[in-house]
Amino acid sequence: MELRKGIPASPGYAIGEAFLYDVEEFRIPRKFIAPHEVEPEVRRTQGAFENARRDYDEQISVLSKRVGGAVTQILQSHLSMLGDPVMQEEIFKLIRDSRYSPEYSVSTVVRKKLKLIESWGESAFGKRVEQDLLEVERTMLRSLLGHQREGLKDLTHPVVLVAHDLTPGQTATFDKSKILGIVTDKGGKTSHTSLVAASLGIPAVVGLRKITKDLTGGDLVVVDGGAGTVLINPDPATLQRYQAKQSNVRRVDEQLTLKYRDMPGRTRDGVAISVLANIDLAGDLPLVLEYGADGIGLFRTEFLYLNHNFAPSEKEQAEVYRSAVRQLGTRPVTIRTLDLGADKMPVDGIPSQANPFLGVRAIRLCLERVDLLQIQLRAILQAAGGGRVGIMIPMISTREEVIQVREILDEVVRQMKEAQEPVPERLPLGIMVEVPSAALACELIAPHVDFFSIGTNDLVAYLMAVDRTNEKVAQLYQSTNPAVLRVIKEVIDCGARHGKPVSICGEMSGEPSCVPLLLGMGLRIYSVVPHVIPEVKRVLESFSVAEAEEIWEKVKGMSDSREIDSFLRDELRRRVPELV
Amino acid sequence: MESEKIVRIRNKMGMHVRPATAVADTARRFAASIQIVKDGQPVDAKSCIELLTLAAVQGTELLVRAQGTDAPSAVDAISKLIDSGFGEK
Repeated sequence: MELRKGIPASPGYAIGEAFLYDVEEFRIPRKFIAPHEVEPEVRRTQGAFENARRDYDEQISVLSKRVGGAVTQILQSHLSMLGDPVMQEEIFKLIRDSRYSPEYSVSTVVRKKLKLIESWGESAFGKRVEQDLLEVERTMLRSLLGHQREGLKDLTHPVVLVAHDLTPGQTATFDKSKILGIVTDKGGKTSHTSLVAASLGIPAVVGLRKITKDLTGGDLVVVDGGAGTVLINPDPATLQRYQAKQSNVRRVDEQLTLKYRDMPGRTRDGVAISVLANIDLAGDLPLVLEYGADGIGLFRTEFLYLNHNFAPSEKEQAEVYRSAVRQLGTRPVTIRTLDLGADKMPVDGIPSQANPFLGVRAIRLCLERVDLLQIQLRAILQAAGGGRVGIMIPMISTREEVIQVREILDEVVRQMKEAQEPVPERLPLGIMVEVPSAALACELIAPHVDFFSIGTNDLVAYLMAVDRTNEKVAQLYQSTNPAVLRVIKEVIDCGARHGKPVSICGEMSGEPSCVPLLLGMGLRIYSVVPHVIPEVKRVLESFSVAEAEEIWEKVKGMSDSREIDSFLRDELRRRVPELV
Repeated sequence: MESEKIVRIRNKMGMHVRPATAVADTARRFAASIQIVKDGQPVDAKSCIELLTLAAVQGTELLVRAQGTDAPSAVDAISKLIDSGFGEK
C-alpha cells in the first residue's frame, strides 16, 4: 500500500481500477534504420498519419455534437497541422536521406519548428503555436507507436481516471457514469480539471506531481477527494474502511437528494433561503435541475473561450446562454463574463506576465480588449429575453471599473436598439467581490451595482496573500480567519443597507460547517456546486436564524481560525451529525 | 499558368493559428503550387506551420502567387480570404 498526498479538488470517495489516460511520455531514441527498411517505414509512417487523421475526424464529430454544433477550432487546426505537406515532406526526407527511424524523424522535425518559434521571443501567440505543435507531435508518435488514442468515451467499465492533466477537449468527451474519480499530476484548486470534477461531483485529487509514474493501469486505487489523498493498492483492512465510508456517504447523498429536490431552501424557523448552482459547462445544466437548485448563481463562461480558440462568436455564445435561460424558465441565471487571465488566453499586445494573478485577467483583460466584452454582452442580451438573466463582472477592484462596464453595457444596448434588435429591459448588473479593495470599499460601489456575489476562493487568497496550491503556505489559506469573516460581514451588511442582494459563490458557502455561520452573518443566497445543494438545504433546515446569529456572535469573539473551525464542527455535529 | 496578387493582413490578431489553418486548407484544394511571400521570403501556402512562421501581424503586406493550371482561381480564393480579414475584426 502506498499513500500519496495532493491537493483536494472535489470531495468524496472513489474506489476502483486505475486507468492511465494520455500519459505516454515519449522518449524517442536516436535510432537508424537499414536501407531495405526505408520504403516500408515510409509506408508505415503514411499509414500512421492516416490513422491519426481518422481519429481526429471522429473526435471532432463527437465533440461538435456534444457542444451543440459549435466549431471545434482547436482540433481543426491540429488536423490541418497533421496534414501539413511541408512538414510531412521533411519527415519523409529524414527517413529516406538520413535513415532516421520515423519516430526520431517526427521528433527532429518538430524540435526544429519549436526552435524557430522560440526565436520569436516570449509571446502568447508563440506559446499557443508551441502547444499546438506539441499536441500534434504526440498524436503522430502515439499513432506510430501503435497506441490507439484511448477515448474517454470508449470506457467499458467505471474507472479512476489517472492523467498528467486534462484539457477541455478531453473533459468534453467524458462519460460521467464511467468515471469514479480523477487524479492528476498537475493542477490546483481552480484548474480546469478541478472545476469540472467539482461541478460533476466526481471525487478528485490534483497536483500529485508524478502519480502517473507511481501507479500502473489496473492498480486498485482509493481516492479521498476531501482529504486530498490517494491510496495505491490498499491492504484489505484499509480498503474495507473506505468502502464503509463510501457507502455511508452514498446512502446519505441519495436520501438527501430525493428529499430536498423539490423543497425550497429554508431555515428551521421558516425563513426562505435561495440555494443556487455554480456551473462550468453547458453540459452541467441537467445537474441544476436534478439537484433542485433555485437557479444559477454563477454561470462560468470560460469553457466557451477554451472550446472556440479563444474567440467564440456572438452567435455561438448566445446559443449556449439561450439554452440555459430556456431550461431554467423563471429561475434566475447569473452569467459571469470572461474570467480568464492573459496567461491562459493569448491576446495581442499583452505580453506574458510574471505574476498572472496580480496581472491582466478577467475584467482587466476585457477592458483592454473591449471588443471581447461587447461581443459577450451582446450575446447575453440576445439570449436574455423571457428569462431572469443577470450579468456578473469578475475581479472588480475599483468603482471606476464598474462605471466603465456600465457605460459599455449601455452603449451596447443603445446600438442594439438602434439596429432594432430586441433588447430586454435593463438587466441586473452585479460584481464579484473578490479583490479586497472592492470588498472594503463596497459602500462606494453599491450605488452602481444591482447585486454582489462574494467570490470567497479568490478573496481569501488575496486577503491572506496565499496561493493555496502551494503546500508550503496552504495552511494559511483560512476561509474562517477572523480577518476574512470581518470582510465578508462588511459586504453582507453593505448589501443590506443598500437593498442590494448579496450571495456567496465561493466554496465556503457549500461547506456544511460554514452554512449556519454565514446564515448568522446575514447571508440569504448561497451559490454552490450542484451536488452539495441537498446538503446545504439539510443544514439550513436544522438551524433557526436566531440560533445561527448566536453562532456568529460567539465566533466574533474568537481569535483564530482553528478555534473557529472546531467550534463550527461541534455545532454542526450537534444538529446534523451525518454531515460531519 | 502563373498568377499573383498583393494583399494586406486586415484583422487585428494577424495570421494566427485559425487563419493560417484556413489559408492552408483552402490552398490544398488547388493543384497549383502556391506561395505566400513576405519581404521576399516565400513559404508554401499549403503548410499552415510555414504560414505561422511568417508571423504576419495586422498591416503586413503579402504577395500571393501560384503556378499551375488553376493558379488564377487559387490566388483569387486565397487573396479574398486574407482580404476578408478571415471573417475576424
